[in-house]
Amino acid sequence: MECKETREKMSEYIENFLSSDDKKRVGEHLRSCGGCKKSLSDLEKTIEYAKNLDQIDPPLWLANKIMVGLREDPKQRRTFINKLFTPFYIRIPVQAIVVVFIASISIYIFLNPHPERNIVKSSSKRDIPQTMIGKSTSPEKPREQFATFKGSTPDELKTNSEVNKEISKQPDIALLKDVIKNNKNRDKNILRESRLKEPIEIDKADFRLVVDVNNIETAGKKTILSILKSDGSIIQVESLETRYSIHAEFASEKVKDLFEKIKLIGEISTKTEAIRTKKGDVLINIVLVKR
Amino acid sequence: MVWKKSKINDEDSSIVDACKKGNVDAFEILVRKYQNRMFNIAFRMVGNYEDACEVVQDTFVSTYKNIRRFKGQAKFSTWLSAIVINHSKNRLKKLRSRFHNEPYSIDDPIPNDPTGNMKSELKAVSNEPSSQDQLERKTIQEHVQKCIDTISEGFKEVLVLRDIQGFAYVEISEILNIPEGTVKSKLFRARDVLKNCLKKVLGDL
Repeated sequence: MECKETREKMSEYIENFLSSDDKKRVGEHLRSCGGCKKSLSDLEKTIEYAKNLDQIDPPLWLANKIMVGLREDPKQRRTFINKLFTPFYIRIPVQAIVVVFIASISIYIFLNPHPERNIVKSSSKRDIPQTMIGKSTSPEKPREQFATFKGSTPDELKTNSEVNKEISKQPDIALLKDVIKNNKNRDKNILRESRLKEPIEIDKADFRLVVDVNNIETAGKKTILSILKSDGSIIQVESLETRYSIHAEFASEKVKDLFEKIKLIGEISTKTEAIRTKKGDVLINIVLVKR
Repeated sequence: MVWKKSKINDEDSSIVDACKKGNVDAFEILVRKYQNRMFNIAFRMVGNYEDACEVVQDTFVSTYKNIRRFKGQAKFSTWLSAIVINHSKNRLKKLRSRFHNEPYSIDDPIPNDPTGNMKSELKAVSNEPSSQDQLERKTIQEHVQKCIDTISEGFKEVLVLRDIQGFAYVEISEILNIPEGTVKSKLFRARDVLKNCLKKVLGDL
C-alpha cells in the first residue's frame, strides 16, 4: 500500500471502520513509513482537539424567548384597528362614548318636535336673548328702533322700522297679514335658536291679559297692530282654534295706551290694576279667547 | 429530506404528538431538552455566539410551525438537527454577504511567533501553571474554532456532527440526506483541512 492510499483510509482506520484486510495493510504501511505514521498521529490529535471542544452554554433567556415568540402566533397577529380596540381598557370606554353620543343625539331629536307646536315660555326679560326680544341693553339706542319684530341686525331693524311706519300710516290688511306671517316665521327661527342655547320657561310672563273677542283671527291682527302702535316688542304669537296668544314686551308707560286700544277690540276679563302700577319694562301675555 | 418510510421508536414521540395538537407547553419541554445541543451545533457552524442564538431561535420556531409535517420516520432529535444545520448554513450565507464573518485564514501569519508555535508563546505569558493551562486551553479552543470556520459548509457540517457532537454515520447520513460513503469522504476531507490549519496555527500537534 502506498502513502496516498494509506492517508485516504487513515480516517476510517482510526475509527476502526476498515475491513480486516485493509486494516492489516494500512498497519503494515504505517510501521514502515515514518511520514504516514506522523500523519496518523496528527490526525488523531486533530480529532481529539475537535472532540475536546467545550460545550458552550446558551443564554438562560433563550428558551423563554423562543417560547414567547411561539405563543405569539404570527398568524394571529392583529391589525392596527384590532390592536386599538381589543384591549379592554380601550375598547370599553370607546364603546361607551359612542353609545352615549348616539343616545344624546336620539334624545335631542326626540325632544325637538315640530317648532310650530312649541310655546315660548319666558320667565322674565333676563331669560330672553337680546336677539329674541329685539331690544338692546344700550340706553342710547332709540326705543322706536326696536319696537318692532325681532330684527337681530341693524339692517333688519331698519327694515322693520320702515315697515312699522308704513303700517301705522295705512293699516292695510294685506300688509298686516304679511307682517304677521313674517313675525311667525321669525318666531320659529328664534325658537330654534333659543332652544339651542337654553330652554325658556313657559307661562312666566309678568302679566296675563285675557280678552274676550268675537272673532279670534280678526282680533288677533288688530291686537298685533295695536301692540306695534304702542311701541311694543312682539316676542311670540301663537294661533290656535280656540285662542290667540301673544307675548309682547312694553315700557310700563305704554301699557295704559295699549289697554285703551285693546278695549276697542274686546272685553278684558282680567284685572289690570297690578299691570298699571308696574314700573319699567313688562312682559305681557295677551290671550284672545272667543266669547 | 427523505426519511425512511417506516416509523421508528422515539422517546420524544408522545411529546411530539402533543405538539402536533397545538400544545405549546409540550413543545417547551422539547425546547429545554434540546436547546443546548442545538446551540452547540449552531455555534460550531456559524462560529459566533449571537448568531448561534438567533439560529436556535429560528430553528425552534420553524420546527414548531412545521411539526405536523414530521412523520416520525426518524428521531425527532435527528430531524431537529437537520433543521438547525440548514438554518446555520443559511445564516452563514447571510453573514458572508454582509462581510460580517471574517474567517480565520490558514494563510494568516501567527502574531508574535515567526515559527507559528502558539504553545511556546503561551508559556511565557504566565508562571502560574493552572491559569496558564486554562489560558492555553481557551486559546487553543478559539483557534480550533477559527480553523473550523475556514472549512467550507459542506464539509464542516459533517465534522461538527461527527467529531464534535458524536452522531453516528447513519444519523449524519439521515440528517444531511447523503449516503454514508459520502459522509466518510467528506469527513476525511474536513479533518484534513482542520489538521493542516491547526498545524499552521499551533505548530507541532
